[in-house]
Amino acid sequence: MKASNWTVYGQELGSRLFIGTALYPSPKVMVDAIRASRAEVITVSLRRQSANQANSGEQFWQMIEDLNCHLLPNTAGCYSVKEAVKTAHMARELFDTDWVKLEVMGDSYNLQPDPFALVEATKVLIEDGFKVFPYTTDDLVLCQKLAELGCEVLMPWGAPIGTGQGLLNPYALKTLRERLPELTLLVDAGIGKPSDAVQAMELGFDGILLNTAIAEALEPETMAYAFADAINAGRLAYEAGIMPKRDNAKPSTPTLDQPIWQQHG
Amino acid sequence: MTFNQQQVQFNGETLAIEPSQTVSAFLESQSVAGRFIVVINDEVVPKANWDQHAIQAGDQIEIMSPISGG
Repeated sequence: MKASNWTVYGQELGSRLFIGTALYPSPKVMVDAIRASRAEVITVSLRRQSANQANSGEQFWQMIEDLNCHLLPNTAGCYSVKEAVKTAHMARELFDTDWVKLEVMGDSYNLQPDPFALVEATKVLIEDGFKVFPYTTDDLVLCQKLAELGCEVLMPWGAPIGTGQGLLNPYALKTLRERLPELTLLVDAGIGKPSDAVQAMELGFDGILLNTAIAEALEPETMAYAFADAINAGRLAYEAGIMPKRDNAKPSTPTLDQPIWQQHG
Repeated sequence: MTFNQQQVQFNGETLAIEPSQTVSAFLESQSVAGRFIVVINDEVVPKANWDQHAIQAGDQIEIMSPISGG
């Protein structure tokens, strides 16, 4: 059984997994893993050609074109509003999309987003007609500000990029879900294993964006299948309605009309 | 560099080109192909303007291409 479809900035999607295109051991492994993941959105980036690497992006472009996925360009490596806005404009021209995964880093050690620059860059890009997918921390007030600016989608981290630590602060993520019920929320970064993704989906997140956990698995294609199933399972569980936790045991087998010697208390 | 050539920066390297060359002519002379955009002095030059936009001496020309990203 498949979980319900969803909509991202007006685009209906079946898969709730956004997958990155970096770090795979080979282009073929990347293509096989992305196909196995059943993802419909892939993240991409752009760079300046060096003088001795003319046309180096063409092979990659042919591969991602063949995948026939929606493209979500990022602004990776940007540490200022100016850099991020400039990169977003270049990405829009290069990839012919107004979607942008907005990354404005504030710390090079843990790649934590700069909340102040992120808000400023979001404001500029929305005014410029972009559909912004901000990569953000799980801070409620920051996320509220981004929503007020017009973001329909927010992508809080589970843990720093590439760490595979899972959801370091489930309370904060749960709070975001409860306080921003109208927004589309994806956990972006920090997911290490399928059970991390299930946890996020069971909290009511709409989707997961990940890269390293699949790309650096011993068998990326197999791991992609695992994540696709896990994300679907987590969403189905959320839609089905998860039972509340109780402090006391409650028998699941009916106790009425039990023989007298099995009646206790 | 001949007398009437002009210097530009192309993908970080100095290059001598014919004066008033359009972006289209420049790209052809450098055999740039595939999926890319042209950025001159930090501004994207839309493809629709490549036939009209003349490159000036001292321009910093960059070709941006797709790469993998997370």
